[in-house]
Amino acid sequence: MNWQRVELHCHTLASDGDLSYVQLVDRAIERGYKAVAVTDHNTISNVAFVQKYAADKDLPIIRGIEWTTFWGHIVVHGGHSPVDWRDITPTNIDEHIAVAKASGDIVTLAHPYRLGFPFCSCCFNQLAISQWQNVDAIEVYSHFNPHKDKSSIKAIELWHNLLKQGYKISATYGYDWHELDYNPPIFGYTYVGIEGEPSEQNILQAIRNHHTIVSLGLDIDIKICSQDKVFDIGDTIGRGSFIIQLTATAEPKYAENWKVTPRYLRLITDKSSLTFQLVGGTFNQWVDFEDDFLRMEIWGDIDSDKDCLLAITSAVWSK
Amino acid sequence: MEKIFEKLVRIYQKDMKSHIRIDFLVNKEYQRLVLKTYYCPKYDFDKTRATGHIRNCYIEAGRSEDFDEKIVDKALPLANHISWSVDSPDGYLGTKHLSWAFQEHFISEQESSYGFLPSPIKQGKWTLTASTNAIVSPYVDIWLVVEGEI
Repeated sequence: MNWQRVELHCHTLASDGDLSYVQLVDRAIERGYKAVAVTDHNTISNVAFVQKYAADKDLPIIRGIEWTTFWGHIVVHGGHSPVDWRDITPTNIDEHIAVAKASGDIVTLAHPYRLGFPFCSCCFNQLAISQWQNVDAIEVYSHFNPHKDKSSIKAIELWHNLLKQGYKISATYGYDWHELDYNPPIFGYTYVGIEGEPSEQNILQAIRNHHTIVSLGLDIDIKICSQDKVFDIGDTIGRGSFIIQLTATAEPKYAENWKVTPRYLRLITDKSSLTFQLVGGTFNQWVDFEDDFLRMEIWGDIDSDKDCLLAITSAVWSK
Repeated sequence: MEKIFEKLVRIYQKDMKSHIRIDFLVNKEYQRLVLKTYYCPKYDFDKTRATGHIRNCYIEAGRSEDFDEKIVDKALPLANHISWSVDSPDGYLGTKHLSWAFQEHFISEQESSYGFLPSPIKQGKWTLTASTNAIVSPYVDIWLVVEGEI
């Protein structure tokens, strides 16, 4: 499995973004993304233009939309769902999500705890989602300086509690890219673990299969090995003893702007958590896993900020 | 260019989070429709109202302990935000989610403004929908004009 850096949440001039489709594609290539999703607010009108411009540039474009309802935002990837957002209410959201899922699209709850009206009107989630089995991902980290944002803590808590209830939901980062910024504040990446090319289909399948890692500038490689098998993040691994092999290194381009130093690895299950020191950004140790799920966090320093949450993996499950 | 439709609508704070559908008839097969929308005021400078909105925002987010008067001073003036959707007789063409007070868009069979899919200008009922994402002032006046290019 190859971990590829992608951005799943981008806006263009078709909504309130500053970026033309040319600028989005060119900037995405400069940043080293292997694919980007066009997720304008309540419109798909620019998707075809972005796809056409990117076609000969080796940058796959994921078709998407951000349902920007009055009560929260849902990013839908895949391009098969109905796009008229105006019928969505807090109480019928499950029906709309079910339609999106049935069409084959991926459903992500965007920035669920970002402050809403009058700052970012309608950004704070008040959609009464109950059928969480239809939600593929939650943006646990979003936009700028997510390691310092209280809304990140709440988003991670929501996601963790849903995992505890047995919902298999991926963790993703959403840049929520609006600005034509050449010197943005600290931002994150979503890495998706895929076999083969970073095509739209493979990336969406990776999110479905929970092969995702959220990271602030760390390239991460993780393998979970039993006696006879190697597993990846997102897999069902059973219970028992496993060797976790992890390497976290600063992504060179990111490191030009911010120094990132991984220091600790936290292994978090539904029942407990353990913290280990990372030596040179690596971890290679047997661990016993007897709980329902296991997820990992990497903590360390970024820029002048100490003891920050630098990376969040999706979970592995025992069943 | 022919003026097809013009309307002035006043909405109030109670209308926030609503879709105000404004129908108009197209009686000719124009080459393109031009839609001009304007709302006023764009900003509200009233500190008392802003304090109420922002305090409620923090309470709603479960972060009332983070509310501070300094946040209000920094946030002023607050902005109204209305987005616009267009429906042709054949259905939804898209939404322009943009906070600008004055916007001008066009629809035609070959191409449309950012946010909208191309569409032939068929005769029949068209709808402009004002979606009131944020109403911070006591009221907002909306003015809209639809023109057809022959």
